Amino acid sequence: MRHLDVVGLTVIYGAVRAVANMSIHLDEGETVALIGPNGAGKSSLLLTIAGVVPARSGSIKLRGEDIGSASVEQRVGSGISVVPETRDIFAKLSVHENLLIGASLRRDAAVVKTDIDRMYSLFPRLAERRKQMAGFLSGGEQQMLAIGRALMARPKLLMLDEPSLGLAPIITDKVYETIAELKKSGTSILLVEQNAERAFGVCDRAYIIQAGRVTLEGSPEELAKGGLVEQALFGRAAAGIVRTSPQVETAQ
Amino acid sequence: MTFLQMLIDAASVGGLYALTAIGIGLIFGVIGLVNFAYGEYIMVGAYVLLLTAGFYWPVAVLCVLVFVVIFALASDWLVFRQVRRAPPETLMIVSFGLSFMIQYFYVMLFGSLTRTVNFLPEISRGFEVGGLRIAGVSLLQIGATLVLTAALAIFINFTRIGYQMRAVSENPRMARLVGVNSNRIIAAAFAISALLAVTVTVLFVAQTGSMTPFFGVSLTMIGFVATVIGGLGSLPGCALGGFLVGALTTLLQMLLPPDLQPFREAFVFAAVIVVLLVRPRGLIAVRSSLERV
Ligand SMILES: Nc1ncnc2c1ncn2[C@@H]1O[C@H](COP(=O)(O)OP(=O)(O)O)[C@@H](O)[C@H]1O
Ligand SMILES: [Mg+2]
Repeated sequence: MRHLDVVGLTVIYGAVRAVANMSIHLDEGETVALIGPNGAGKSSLLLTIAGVVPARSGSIKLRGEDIGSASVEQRVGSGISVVPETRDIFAKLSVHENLLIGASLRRDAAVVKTDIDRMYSLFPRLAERRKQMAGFLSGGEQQMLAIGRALMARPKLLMLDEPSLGLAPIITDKVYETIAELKKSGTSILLVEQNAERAFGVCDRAYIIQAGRVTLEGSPEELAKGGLVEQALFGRAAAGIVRTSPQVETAQ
Repeated sequence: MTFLQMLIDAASVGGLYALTAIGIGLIFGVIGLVNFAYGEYIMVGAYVLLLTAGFYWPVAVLCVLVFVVIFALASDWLVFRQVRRAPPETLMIVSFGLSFMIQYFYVMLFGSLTRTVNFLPEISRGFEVGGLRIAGVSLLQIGATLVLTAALAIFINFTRIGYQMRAVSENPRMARLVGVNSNRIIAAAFAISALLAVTVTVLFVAQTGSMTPFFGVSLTMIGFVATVIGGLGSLPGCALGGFLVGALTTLLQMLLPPDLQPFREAFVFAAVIVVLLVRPRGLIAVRSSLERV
């Protein structure tokens, strides 16, 4: 069953067209990667699905239901959680409060409690620092906390924006282990990455995004074959395969 | 006057300023709004007290409380929510406009004369203890400040709404992304600030027995001075600032020759300028958001 269906989505900031008529979809339980260079519009797409960035046009359907005009809160309520690129942990809240706040919309206090314990056993570093202000955590710990906070909502669709950004390889391993576990548990995952190799290790399907458009789509095996990704992202030789699109401004 | 007498006076005056400053600082901390209309919560409360002063006093206070809380929530819903994401300058000017509008609406309805009311005259009567003259209302002011400040600190640090409030203050967008209903949290902040305004109103009216449509503004100006001195956005800073301004006012009252007394506030504002020249971010460095205290 279709979990998420984005059709013809366009996002514009002032003079910048960040997402141009983009269509992607994700089936129930599927892990889909969005791969593309800086400024391609990946984060904008995620934040628009989450509801904090407005779409100019296009539709977003969750399990067949149009959520384009739903509030952020309603979207969280229907199972969408985000781990933003900037992590955005609440620096002045304790680690524990950061986890608690992830469960803001839940009313099952007792289960929330056991879920928090589960997060602490999943990320023992966080358990050691539960009383500390989250701002004092290292980058890796903050990423764990951002993931833990998102999981506290018991999401049905988890969106992760470059979860390995700026992390040491050993910590990235841990993050990807967690993603693999989640995938096994049946959570649908939309994963933004610049590191195609990492993403291919875990995803069922991937989209290559460039300048606000989808330029390639396929399974990791198809995409890895013949270096299609490298061509799409870096090569001119790919012009024949990759639909060329008018360059949008990318200021970063 | 002994030093102890001065200390009591300073603490009771300072208590009112501290409560005003905390009410202003809380709203600033949560949504970055410098709320000039805060003085109108105080002023409107005083007029409700005027109208209900004949009732048994807890009933009168309850009327004020209900009215002012609704009034503050309405100001948020009808006005501030409409400009929630506007830059701070816009927010401030909107609150300025609202403040003036309410004041002159009152002048239209009731005129601008000073009104007097005999509310709980017992508590403003003084009594002597070991050579000190203490008014009951002074003790109430000091007590209310301590109790409310402590209660607010506990609320912000140890409750669910408290940490959600800190989260909205730090990162409103992320707070929404985890499902925090930020409008509800902001409404809670307005309600608490209204509660503080009611306390100030009741104690002020009990003490002075008079009000004008403009007295809220002058209290609020002093409240602002206190928040700026203490460090806008830091609640302990606001409390400290309130007490310092109270102490300064009391000191000036003692030391200034009688013909300079009417200009006492000019000296208070001059002191603020000096403080800001030395410590541009206030005594407790300005924090852009609410934090654990
Ligand atoms: N808040 C914003 N205001 C204006 N422009 C933005 C904003 N966020 C992103 N952009 C622009 O939109 C484009 C896409 O950015 P983004 O979605 O962050 O891409 P990616 O996540 O793929 O790096 C870039 O050109 C970026 O500069
Ligand atoms: Mg990005």
